[in-house]
Amino acid sequence: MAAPIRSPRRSDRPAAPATAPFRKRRPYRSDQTVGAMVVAFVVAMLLGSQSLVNLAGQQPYGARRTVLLGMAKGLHSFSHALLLDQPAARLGELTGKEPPVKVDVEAVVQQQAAAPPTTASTIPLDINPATGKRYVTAEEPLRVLLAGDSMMRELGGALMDTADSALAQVTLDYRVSSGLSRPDYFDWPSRLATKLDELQPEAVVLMFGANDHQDVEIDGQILRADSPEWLAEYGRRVGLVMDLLHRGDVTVTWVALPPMRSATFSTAMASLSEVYRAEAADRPWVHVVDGGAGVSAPDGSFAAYLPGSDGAPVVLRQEDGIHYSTAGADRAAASVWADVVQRWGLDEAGSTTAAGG
Amino acid sequence: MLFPTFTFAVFFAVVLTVGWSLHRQQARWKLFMLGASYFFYGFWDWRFIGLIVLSTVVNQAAAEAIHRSASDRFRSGVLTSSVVFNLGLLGFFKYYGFFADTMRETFGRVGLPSPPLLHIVLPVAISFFTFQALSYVIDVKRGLLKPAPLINFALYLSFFPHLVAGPIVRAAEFLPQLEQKLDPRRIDLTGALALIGAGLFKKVVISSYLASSIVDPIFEHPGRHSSLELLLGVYGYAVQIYADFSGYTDIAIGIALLLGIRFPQNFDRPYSAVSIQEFWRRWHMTLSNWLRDFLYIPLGGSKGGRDRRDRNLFLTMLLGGLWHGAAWTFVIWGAYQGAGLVLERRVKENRELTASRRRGRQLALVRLGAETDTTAAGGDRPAAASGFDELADPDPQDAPRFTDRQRRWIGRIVTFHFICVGWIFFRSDSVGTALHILWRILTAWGGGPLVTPLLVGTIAACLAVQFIPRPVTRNALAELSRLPATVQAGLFGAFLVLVDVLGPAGVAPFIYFQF
Repeated sequence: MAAPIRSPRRSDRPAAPATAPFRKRRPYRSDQTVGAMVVAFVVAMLLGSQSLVNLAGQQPYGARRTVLLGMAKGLHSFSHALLLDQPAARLGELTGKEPPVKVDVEAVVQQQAAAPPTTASTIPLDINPATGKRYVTAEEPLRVLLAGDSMMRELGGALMDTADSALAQVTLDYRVSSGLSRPDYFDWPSRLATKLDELQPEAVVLMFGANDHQDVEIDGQILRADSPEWLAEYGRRVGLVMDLLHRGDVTVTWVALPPMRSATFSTAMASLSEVYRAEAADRPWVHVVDGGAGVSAPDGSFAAYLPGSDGAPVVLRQEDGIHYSTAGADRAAASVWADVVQRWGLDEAGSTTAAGG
Repeated sequence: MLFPTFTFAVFFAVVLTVGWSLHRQQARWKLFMLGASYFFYGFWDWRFIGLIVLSTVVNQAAAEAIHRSASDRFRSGVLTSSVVFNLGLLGFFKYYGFFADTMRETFGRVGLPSPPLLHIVLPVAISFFTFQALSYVIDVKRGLLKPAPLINFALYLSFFPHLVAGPIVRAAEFLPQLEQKLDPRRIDLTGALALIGAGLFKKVVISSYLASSIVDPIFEHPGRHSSLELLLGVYGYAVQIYADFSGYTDIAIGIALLLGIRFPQNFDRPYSAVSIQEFWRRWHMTLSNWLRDFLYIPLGGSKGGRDRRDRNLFLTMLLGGLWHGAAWTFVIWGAYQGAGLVLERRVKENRELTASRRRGRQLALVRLGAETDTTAAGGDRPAAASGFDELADPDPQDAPRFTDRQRRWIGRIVTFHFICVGWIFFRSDSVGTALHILWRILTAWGGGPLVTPLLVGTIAACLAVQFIPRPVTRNALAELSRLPATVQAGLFGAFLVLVDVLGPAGVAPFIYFQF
């Protein structure tokens, strides 16, 4: 007997619907729904009270922050007394979300001034007379740390692409929304102190400022942005970071901010760049490089586009008029990296390879 | 105002409470919801409100004019004007830069004048509310809808749960809900909490983890990573974009449910699809349906033969790609999806044609065999003795090489990898970067520090979840709904804290906000 002829397979069909009927969900009334959401809100706030304190602390200084922080701290005290905050705290520890390490940076700077530590090296090195620093070789590449706020995201990417990977071992460490004004949100000096010990960088490239034009708090007193007191305090913080990085032969390339689309913001950023230049003036290990080089109009003002090598316009900034575009970051990176190259003799390919250890 | 933030939680708590307290007074409820939606939108930039108000007024006027006129010519003219207005608005804000760049590159080289370059800020949500406004006017022209009162239409366009990144809710799905009184006795609390919880987990935990641990590093510096890292980065992005986008729409659907409004489903376990066609029936379903109804069918759909149908399909996907962004990477992504769908359809049709011919031939042989047997043996001899039995049986070469189950898995794996190749173009900042990644996946052999058991496990688990049968989750939720509302709420509150602890500090914007 002939075999039955089967219909063609339709393997691209979705699976047949399940025959088992779905069980229906129980509906609720609107008052039960609103009540349930209130309960959810209260439970989440009690169990996650530490997050609320952190969140309130990150608000701009002022009455609103004071009120919110007071409420969050009150709630946290209540939650802590009942041990309700403990599950989240234990879970945070398990997942590696421990509180950030706090370093007494001023003490570290004083220690360094008393007995400067030397950079680590595994190979005996000669000194390059042109730079006064060791020869950089493929066997012992230059250890570079790039750090900063979200401006460093694009710039750091471009620097990593620009850097010769055979001669430079580059680490990028950026944190969005961070800066030097709000160590309560992100403590860059402590972070840098930790990274210095961990990575032993020889060249450090920094870019801060885009989030720094905001009030700061000193011993409960709020200093308004741009006031003389504020500028003095900001300068002190910048100087502290520069001194922290004064270790052995470490070079610091501090990238000054490019012009921004908003005239007000641009003026504010220019005043911060002046602070960097002033603080670097008597610190020879720090060079301030213009982050607007190659991405500003000929008169130094903001430019969203500039002609490329073929004459066609190239977009240099993102839509926010603040951050670099990829092409803009490439251009800014060229002058920033040139500083590192010049200070470490990376352009002397012959001598670096000849001196190979 | 992002969904996974404390600010939004406070905003929503107020909207939910006041909203349900006004449910008996429909007009006030609508005004309140409209105000809340504009507040939500203006939180990004208050100037955007002017844009959505302009779109509302112009499209409502067009719908009214179309409905009132008896002249087909006038109606078509108004519709055309409305389409030009909507696409003009979208084109200016979203595509002007791309257009000007391309024109400059093309015309500038031969010295012809080209449009000036402007740095235009793309308003959040413009792609979504423009498509919704278009569907409203077109449906009125087609006679499928009557113009709604202005307040209803304004609320339809701006309703905050779907405003920023969809789902693209059709006027016919949304407006009838505004005409009825909200039912305060039948709220799907359990379903809503499950959707919001799942959406937050997908967005805050999964998407953020994958982005920072592998996707961003490999797409930013592909030259620094091995083929294994790049491959896992691409798989990671496939999961990340799903978690991010479906997470957003899950939250949007859940929030709307709590307010008493139902939205259509937008994702249905897309990586379980066994074909590209099925993938597009499961991925961003509301956009796929919109493109089908307002682009593919007006282009002619499947009428006019295979070639025209394939052309329409290809064009639909190409324009769908361009909808996602003004860049050549999105154009290539759309063309790639269109070409894949056309090719898949052709292969399937050819396979069916061959099978159908074979069936016909076999049937003919069986009939012929039966007739010969009857003639030779006077109808008493069994057919098997005739010698035609062998011919009538399927040729061993024709027998399927794989079982149905195997074919489905092969289909799934091929489809998933086809989609992943497309994602490389979708995510890359340039076509050059995409090609570089593809090249290095094939040539830069080796492992790397980014490949960790946690990463592989996360990607595998997220893909495995796509295969959980729908009845399992639905029945589990049905069981959960039997618990008292306060217990469910307590569990939900604890889950929010879990998401907060597992997620990173700060929340990145949703990927689909940029579209």
